[in-house]
Amino acid sequence: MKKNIKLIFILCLVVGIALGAVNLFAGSRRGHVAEVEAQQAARKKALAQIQAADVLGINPDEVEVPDEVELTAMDNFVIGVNGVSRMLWVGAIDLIIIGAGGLLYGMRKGRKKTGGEKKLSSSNNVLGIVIALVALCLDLAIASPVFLTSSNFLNVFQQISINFVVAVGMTFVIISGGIDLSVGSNIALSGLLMGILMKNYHVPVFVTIVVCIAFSGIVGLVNGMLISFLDLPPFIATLGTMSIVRGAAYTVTAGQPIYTFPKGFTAVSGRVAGIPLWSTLIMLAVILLGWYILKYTRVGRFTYAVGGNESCARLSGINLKKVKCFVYVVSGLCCGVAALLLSSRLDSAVPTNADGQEMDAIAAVVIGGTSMSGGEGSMIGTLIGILIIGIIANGLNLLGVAQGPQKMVKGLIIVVAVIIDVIRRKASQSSK
Amino acid sequence: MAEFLEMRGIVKRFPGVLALDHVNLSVRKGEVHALLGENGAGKSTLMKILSGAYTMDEGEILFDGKKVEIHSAQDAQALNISTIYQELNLTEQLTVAENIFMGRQLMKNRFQVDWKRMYDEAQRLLDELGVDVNAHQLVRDLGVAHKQMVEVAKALSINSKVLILDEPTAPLTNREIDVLFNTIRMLKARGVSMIYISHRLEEVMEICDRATIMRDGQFVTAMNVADTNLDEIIRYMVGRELKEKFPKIHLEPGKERLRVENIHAGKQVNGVSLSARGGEILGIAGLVGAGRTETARAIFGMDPKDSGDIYIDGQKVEIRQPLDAIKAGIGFVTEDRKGEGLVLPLPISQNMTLATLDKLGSAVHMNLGQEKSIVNEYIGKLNIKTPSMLQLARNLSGGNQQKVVLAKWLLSDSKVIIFDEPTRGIDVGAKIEVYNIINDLIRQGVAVIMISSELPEVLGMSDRVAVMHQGEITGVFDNDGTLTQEKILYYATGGDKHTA
Repeated sequence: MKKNIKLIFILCLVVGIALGAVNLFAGSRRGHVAEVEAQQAARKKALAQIQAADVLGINPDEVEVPDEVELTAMDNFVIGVNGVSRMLWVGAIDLIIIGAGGLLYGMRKGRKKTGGEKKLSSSNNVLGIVIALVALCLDLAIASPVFLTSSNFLNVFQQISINFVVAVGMTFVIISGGIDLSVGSNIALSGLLMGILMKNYHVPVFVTIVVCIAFSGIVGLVNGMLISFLDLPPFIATLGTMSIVRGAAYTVTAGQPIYTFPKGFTAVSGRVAGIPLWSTLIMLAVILLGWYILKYTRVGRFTYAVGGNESCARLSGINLKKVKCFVYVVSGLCCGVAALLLSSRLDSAVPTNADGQEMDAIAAVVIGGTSMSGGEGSMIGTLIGILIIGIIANGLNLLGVAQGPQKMVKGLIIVVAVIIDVIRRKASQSSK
Repeated sequence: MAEFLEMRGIVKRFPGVLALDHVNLSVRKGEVHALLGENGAGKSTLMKILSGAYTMDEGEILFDGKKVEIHSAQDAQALNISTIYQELNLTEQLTVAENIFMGRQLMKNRFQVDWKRMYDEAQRLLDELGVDVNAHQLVRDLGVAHKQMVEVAKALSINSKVLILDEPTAPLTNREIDVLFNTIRMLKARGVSMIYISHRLEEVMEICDRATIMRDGQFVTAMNVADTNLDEIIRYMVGRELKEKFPKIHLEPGKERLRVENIHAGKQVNGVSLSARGGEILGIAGLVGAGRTETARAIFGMDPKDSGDIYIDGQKVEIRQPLDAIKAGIGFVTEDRKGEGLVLPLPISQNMTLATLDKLGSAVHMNLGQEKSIVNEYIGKLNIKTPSMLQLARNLSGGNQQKVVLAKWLLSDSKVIIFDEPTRGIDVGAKIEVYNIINDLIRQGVAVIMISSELPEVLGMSDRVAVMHQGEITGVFDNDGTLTQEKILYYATGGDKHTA
């Protein structure tokens, strides 16, 4: 490990411990300060009584005037520290985790080097984000008393459900070396179609769901065909469909929202015995299926190969076009499922639904350690990425941060995640 | 005549390899100096040192009698040394003049480019060279020969004193070569010294004044071209005797497994026909740019072919993409291990089974247990040194990477396997292991085609040798002991065309 990086970690550790110590000290002096303040208040009160008696010309009774005490500079400091105690705890814990984690990782890496054994898999990356997730939860638990309540957990769960499903599909796309910007629009249009079919044409709920998820899959197929058969860059192709589909969403209802769906439909997001049973099962099914496809099916393996080295994949007899179409269809289908979850929960569909959804999904996948250049990544990583994104959003809400800064934070996190990806890539290349 | 540029005792080490071993090169003012040697002799390394791409470990460079240090491309440029690489270094979307003055545009003042002066100057240079190119044209609209002339004009514009030409005629037609040679003669008359690297010895005889010959990273000799002949040059280039580093086995060849008839593909493959029998190794020799790899890629369906038929075991097969070739029973170990042979971010196991996943359970449920046992079996069989089958391919050494690629095609039960430079960039021990794997294959009745630029390897391992030159096969020979490197080189540089 480079020396200055090590120094930074040590500094983090030291500052973190120092902050913690100061905080502990301040906490322990809280009683003393309170005593001093109480004495001051009592003296003030007594003096006021004497003064009042003076004015009224009454002989003050035996008013006992406490001794005069002054708050020392130290006491003032303690008061100040206690005022921001929570924030200090958050900072201290983060710094200690960063410092200790960094140093431990460096030591492990150093040992490995001398042992001559190189990195085996991407398990290190997942480990890193798990630590980040734990630190995040600790921070929020300290910073907000509401965070650890069950109602908040349900809240977080509902918040992330859409991104959860979309990010699973996005994982396929990004592993294959592509990107899908059209997910948000796809959700919006699919949700509106559900509304139109059920409200205007009285199509049965189940049929509606199947048709609309299939429709989302077709939007994905169009993406895949543009990319594989016409060789469009994924970014451009899906940027185009993003705008086309969003436009279509505005057009189908002339910009109007659709309200109040049949009971059978909203029941999907309803609660059974206090928990959102059906949506939980759907999410679980989606991620398990995604994990299974990536690990156990041929096309899942091909997805990695195509993203990792297209010419090698072709030379190994893989049909690139089929694989590319497949991943975008998967992403599309996931959008359909997300539309189902979103519309049933809101009991409405609006053309502006899921605006900017692609950002959250890409962020979750990238934070989960999936490389933007393709060929690397895992469903477990994505799961943790989704949780991190969701919990950060929840935390910012709990702390009363406005929407504007929230977006800025989200963007910042993506940038940082990609920077880490790039650094890791460079490191692994130079170690070759 | 005084020496203008001298490189003395140049040593360059790469990890595990001594690429240059005290090499000398001296070039006089206004001469065309040929730098000759087989592939891997160290010519490119030497030129990269001169152009500042590599730094030497030992030795000194004298320029016009003074000792100079070349540590970077800027240093070389300051000495007016320029290189025209085989892969031209132009920006396609810009105009000819912009390319000529790339990075040093003529300026009116600090902020404004003096376009008029730049285009006038560029046109003047081009006219001087006698090329029919307009300075306003976009480079992408030019043919290869004209692009090369733009490079020459660029070299002229920076007043080059030493010009390195790396295989300049490889992409050119005969008429274009004549134009290039006229230009070279003109530059020579102006006193520009040129270092000319080419595999086409007949051209060397025609255009060069002196020649330096290298072999295995060592300086062999320097001579006046007028005082020598083709045979002598070839003898110096080949030099050593073949040693027993090839575990050749001789089998009775079986029936014909692959027949290729009259394949045309692009400019590089002009009517190649060949056949390979089970149990034999057909070596394909030829110089860089002879169209060997392109032929293999066309057979395998990696690049489209314009015409030609392919037969496997007597049956005609349609091959439009690699998938068709694999189904027909052809395997292809490419020369570009990292670029095409492996998916670097994937583990060994997944790389090995990539072409044969259809044999591992069904499409919706691969049998990972079976995969694991197969992969472990091949890791042992091929002696791949790795702590685990989950090791990422990018973390393996060259030799082990190559073994993983070999394993991929061994698993595929191919009838024909084409090896393109199977031992490039791997150490001697691993080379012998690769040869033994190839031997196992022919024992099983597979037909092996081995493309190699190392003539000792071709002679050491092949049963028959086909020699290619400019996209055609100039000769097919039985490797019965009478075939020599000289003979192969003779055919690889044009064969019977020499006498024409």
